[in-house]
Amino acid sequence: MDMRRESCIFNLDMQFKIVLLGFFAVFISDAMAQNPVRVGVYGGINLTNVLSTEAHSVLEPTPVGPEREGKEYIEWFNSEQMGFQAGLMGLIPITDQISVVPMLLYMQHHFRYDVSQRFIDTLNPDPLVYDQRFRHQLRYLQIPVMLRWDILPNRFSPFVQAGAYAGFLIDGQKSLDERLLPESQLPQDNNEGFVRAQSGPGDDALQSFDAGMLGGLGVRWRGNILEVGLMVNLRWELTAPVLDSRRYANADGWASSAMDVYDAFSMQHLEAGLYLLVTPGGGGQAAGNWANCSFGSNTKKRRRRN
Amino acid sequence: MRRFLVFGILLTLLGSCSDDFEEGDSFFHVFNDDVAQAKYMPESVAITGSGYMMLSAKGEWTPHMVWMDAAGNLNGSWEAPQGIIHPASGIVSLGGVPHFVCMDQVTLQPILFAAPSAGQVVEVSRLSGGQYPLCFGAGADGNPFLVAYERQSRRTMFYQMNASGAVTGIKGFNNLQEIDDLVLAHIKRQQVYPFFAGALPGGGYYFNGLVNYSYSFLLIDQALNQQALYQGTQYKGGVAAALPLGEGWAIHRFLNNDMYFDYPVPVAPSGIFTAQNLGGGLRFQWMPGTPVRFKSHSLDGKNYLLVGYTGTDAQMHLSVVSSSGQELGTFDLGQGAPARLADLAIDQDGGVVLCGSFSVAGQFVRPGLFKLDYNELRLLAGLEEEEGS
Repeated sequence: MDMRRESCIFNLDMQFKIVLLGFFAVFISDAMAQNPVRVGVYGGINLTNVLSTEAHSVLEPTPVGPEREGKEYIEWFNSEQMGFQAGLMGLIPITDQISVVPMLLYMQHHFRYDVSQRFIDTLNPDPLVYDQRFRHQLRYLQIPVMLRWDILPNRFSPFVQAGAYAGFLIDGQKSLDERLLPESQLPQDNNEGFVRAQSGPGDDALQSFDAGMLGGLGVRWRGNILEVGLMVNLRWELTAPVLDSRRYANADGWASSAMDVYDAFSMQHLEAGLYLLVTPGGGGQAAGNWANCSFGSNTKKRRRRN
Repeated sequence: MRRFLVFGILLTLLGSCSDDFEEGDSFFHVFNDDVAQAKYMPESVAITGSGYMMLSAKGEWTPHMVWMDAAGNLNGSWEAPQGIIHPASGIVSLGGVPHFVCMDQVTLQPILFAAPSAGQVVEVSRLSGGQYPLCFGAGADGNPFLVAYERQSRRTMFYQMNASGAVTGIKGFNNLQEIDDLVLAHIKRQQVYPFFAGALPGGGYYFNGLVNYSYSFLLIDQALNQQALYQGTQYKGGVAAALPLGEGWAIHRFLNNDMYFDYPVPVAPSGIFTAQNLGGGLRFQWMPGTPVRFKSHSLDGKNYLLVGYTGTDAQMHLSVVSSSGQELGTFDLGQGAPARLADLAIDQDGGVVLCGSFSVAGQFVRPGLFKLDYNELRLLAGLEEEEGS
């Protein structure tokens, strides 16, 4: 059913090859000569902001259609917008303070929007309010590559970094909670009264390819063997997550069952995470002024006085 | 560093990729109303020059039309003024202008309407002496006809018309029994009978109506003389959908709550039979009392039968059937939100549109239109994906 998912100005295979070529060019020529390379793990959380650029809906109000204000997106700082990311991370020094940071990450992005409609009840003066709450979870496998500058050539240093990422959609999940109540019976707490109407896979209308820019800052502590750090990045998605041609296709049944389709939108993510890196082979020469500062042992020998 | 810039530019280029909606792509829209108790029962859909139009009965019987553009977005709507009721099934293009038939609430006369543009409906003529329109269609020559019921004489009437809507031939088929309650229940959408009609390939017509004490299926020639009659089981069984195709007929009949289907099946061109003579396999998954629609369609130069029906799962279904009668694939619509099929139409781009009712919030019954694009139909038929699609 997803025969047009991969159509673009060139096909996805081509895009994939070009992106890979870009990665290899960057890695091989600029970084491989530098040592030591550090590898490790990275994990954290991210918050998603959805910026709708074009509204779409299955429900079209006729001239006597109900009041309907479109989708109301929940903004960044809400637990419903929070997903997590985890994966592998590398650090390839180019100079004392500049490194290339490649990653291979499993990314989970969550976002929610609400839709509300009012219906006149001809049998009752109280109008009926129909609220729908849609939650989406998109999961990607992403390869970010950043260029990082350690501000201080010390064991402890803040850093700034920026780069780009490319990724592929693993899957999408959707759920719908809804409530239909007379207006006078709406609970004080706007989160009450909802029941799960349906949930299931929902990636038929989504692009399988994902790319964007990212950048941020952090702090790190570095020893000969271990390096730990904390960083905060902002990701700006450049690709449109939704395929216009598949928006209403209903191959996954969502359009007709939930009467909902994606808007045209872009996503931004604010992510924070911790990483732990080790130097394979136990260390070796570290760059910079702290090169001879060993971690956990003092190599200076005391002179004996005769 | 330059390589990073190049890489960034590449990503930006990829980001500029788009897969825009184009005419011919699938879409789905439901047309909403702010009155909780409003209920729409769609009857017919037609392809217009700029999109689509869908005729429904609002409430009990008020005619209601919505127009959509090529992407299925609302272009206009119309609700009949007081005194005009009961849209008969069928929209026919006369001189490029869609026409449909409703009924005068007082005189019971069929009224022919033209819909020249979105939101605009004009009365063309009233069928003098006629009553209770049931079904409106077009013959092989493109001229319209109307099947109606005449209360006083207890006859099903066939009105042959010319391109301007004037009656050129009339023929009555006796029912010989008073069935006013049944006809009224149909018109008030309490017990809907799937009346249908069409043109025979060699000239003449086929239709079902209330004839010979039953819900009967008739073949008549161009001069409106009865050729074949397939009697129903009183009004509890009979042929409810039929389409003549090269390989034979596609036939759907019902008996009480059982739904039957067969294709290809021979239909005798003359004689008197019972609908049960047409046989057919029981379709447990078809919801009793709901319309079934057939359309012939060509995919990659091969002929297929499209069967639209409402399932017992309260979803719309569209099946693609090969010319040998093998069901190749089925598309489902309405999972979780009860839906009921009313009509099908083949679009100019080879896609198919399905019109029917959908339940908003599970209870507000609204008219909706779904388009399945040509490529998805091909996949349903088991045809390989086209290069570059």
